[in-house]
Amino acid sequence: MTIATSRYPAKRLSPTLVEIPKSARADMNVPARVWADEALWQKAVTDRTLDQLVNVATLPGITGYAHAMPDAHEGYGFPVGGVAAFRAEDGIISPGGVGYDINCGVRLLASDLRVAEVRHRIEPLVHDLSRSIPSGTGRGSDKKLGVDDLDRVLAEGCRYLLEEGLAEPEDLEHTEGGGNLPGANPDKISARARERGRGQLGTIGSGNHFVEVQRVERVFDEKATRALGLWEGQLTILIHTGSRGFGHQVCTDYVRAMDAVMARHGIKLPDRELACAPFSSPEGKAYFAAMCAAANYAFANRQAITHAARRVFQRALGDSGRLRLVYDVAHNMAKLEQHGKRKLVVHRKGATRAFGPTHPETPRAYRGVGQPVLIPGSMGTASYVLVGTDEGFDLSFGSTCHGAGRAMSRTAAKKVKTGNDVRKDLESLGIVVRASTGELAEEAPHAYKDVDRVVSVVHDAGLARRVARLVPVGVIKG
Amino acid sequence: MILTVQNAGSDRDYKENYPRLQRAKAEWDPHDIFNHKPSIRAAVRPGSPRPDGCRNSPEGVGWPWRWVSVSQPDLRTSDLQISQPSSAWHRWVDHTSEVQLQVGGGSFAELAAEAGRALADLLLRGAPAAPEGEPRTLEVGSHDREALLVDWLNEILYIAETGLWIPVEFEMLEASATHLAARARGVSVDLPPSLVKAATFHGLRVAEGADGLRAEVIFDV
Repeated sequence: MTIATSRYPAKRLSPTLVEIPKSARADMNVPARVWADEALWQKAVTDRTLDQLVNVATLPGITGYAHAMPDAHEGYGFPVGGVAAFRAEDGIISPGGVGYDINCGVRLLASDLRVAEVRHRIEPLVHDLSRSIPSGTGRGSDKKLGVDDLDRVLAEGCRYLLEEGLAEPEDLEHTEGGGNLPGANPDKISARARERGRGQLGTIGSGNHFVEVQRVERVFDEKATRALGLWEGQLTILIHTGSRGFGHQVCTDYVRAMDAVMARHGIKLPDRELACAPFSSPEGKAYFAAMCAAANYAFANRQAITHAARRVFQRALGDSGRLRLVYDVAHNMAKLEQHGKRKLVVHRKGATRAFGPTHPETPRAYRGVGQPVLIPGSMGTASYVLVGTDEGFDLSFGSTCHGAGRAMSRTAAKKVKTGNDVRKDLESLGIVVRASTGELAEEAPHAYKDVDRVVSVVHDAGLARRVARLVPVGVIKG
Repeated sequence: MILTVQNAGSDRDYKENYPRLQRAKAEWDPHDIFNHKPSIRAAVRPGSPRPDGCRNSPEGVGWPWRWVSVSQPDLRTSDLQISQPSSAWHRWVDHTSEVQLQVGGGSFAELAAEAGRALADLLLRGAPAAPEGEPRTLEVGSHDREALLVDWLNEILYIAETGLWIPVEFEMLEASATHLAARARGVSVDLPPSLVKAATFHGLRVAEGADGLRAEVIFDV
């Protein structure tokens, strides 16, 4: 099979998979795998995505393959869209392998409403949502959390919000890890991270983060959509955000800390941003505890936004405005997972956990179907609901893509279209927009890869199964 | 076309007082009414255009400095921006999902100050900002010069986000390989600046060359 040339020898194993052998560079510990059709592969060879993937394959204790998902693009340290698993006993953990936006993730809320029947209410609803959910970076929520409150958010995540009346019991069942990672230890969080975390709970943030009101446009799998409580024409809400300045500071703190001790652990790296420490070392354990706390903060953030959205819908529509949480899934996280007989630290950076129908961590309601996977397109384009597969567990450590992935830098995007043009485009499609013009230009749909193609590849490769396609009717961002 | 401007004896005559004199000049005589060949050039705010439309070029930087007219700007790079007439320069290079700062200066102190001004300009999204209020002291320590530069930039991000204050003008008090200290004046903002998450260690470099130091830092945005 013909294959676009990369700097590394590569072999296409299937229409959706390319392998770079371990012999491609002397320092690789495992081969690398790129999940891509020919068009996405050609895109991957144009930048440093493959260099970064090969760098990951050199890290101590890596097992299986270093994976790049179809939406992978060059990042810092690990590529964005990278998956790597390290042996817990002698492998590493790396803050750069999780990223600055720890537990950036997506949750999907389903209503009992048909978009066609509430069409005239969409604009006031979107407007009210934009007023109730603060957006831009660092723009704080109304209520600054006291230190004790913050500690409980960090230690207990959504479970604390349930106690405070900001969550329903079913919300926790339908959140990855119950929205409460047990490894979290607030003592491992710096005063600076606390300072940045205070006042940001319940906020969207800037960049590619957004809240969308959507319509289920197409159903691919009747049985699965029924199990997930989705149907064609239904109004849904997608929330895409993470741990905000809190997570950025935790990553900053620990990249710095690990950079300082790597020599002591005898670790040599091809790139300093890959800073890491043995998972079993004091530094590795401390980062894991801090990262889990930041992940809990992010779960709680999306839960607080859910609560705000529920209040908006309740006010406008009473009981018929009920919003049920379909699922909440992380895109940037390192998890300690059992894979066969081995305990592995699975890093997913710009990648989504996708467990199959029989995995014990798949929520009860979705057993036999698979864990829901939520793939936001870029702002204003289609999003997808997928479910994990049992075979994906062996193919990619139970991981799949996380979105369309950027194809163009922010400056380049602005040169193609102005924010006002993007706004007009969206409005001409009947989409209600509440967003700043600058953000619209940078996050415009043309700056991203084609989400349909990315989802086709993971579906065809068996990493996840396509269930439904959602299109926006309202967009809220910073 | 290269226009060479006489470097009016700035360091020869005014020594380390030159930046302070420049600030006074900028305040009292911004249009350069009172001038003679070796007189003081006004401090230029980061991001503000030169009246002559020329831009400082890293390649053309020497001492005395030269102004080089750039006829074919690289599409991948933002405009070069001038700052105070030291040999410092910077430019932003766009990557797919990050931005890279390339910065240089005659000394590490100059380089750190220029990097601080560049970051401030990015945080302010190029909006002009005249420093106001009392100066504040910024101080960071780290185990080597590269890590120190990252720490310095992350310190500015931290202060901007938590203190709603962006330092735009730096008087460097100390710049060793492991310690940076500066008195900074800045601007208050109503909302924390958006965009930048952190300065990273990815592709981090500080290198010495014939005309001083040059560094590259990638920011996650």
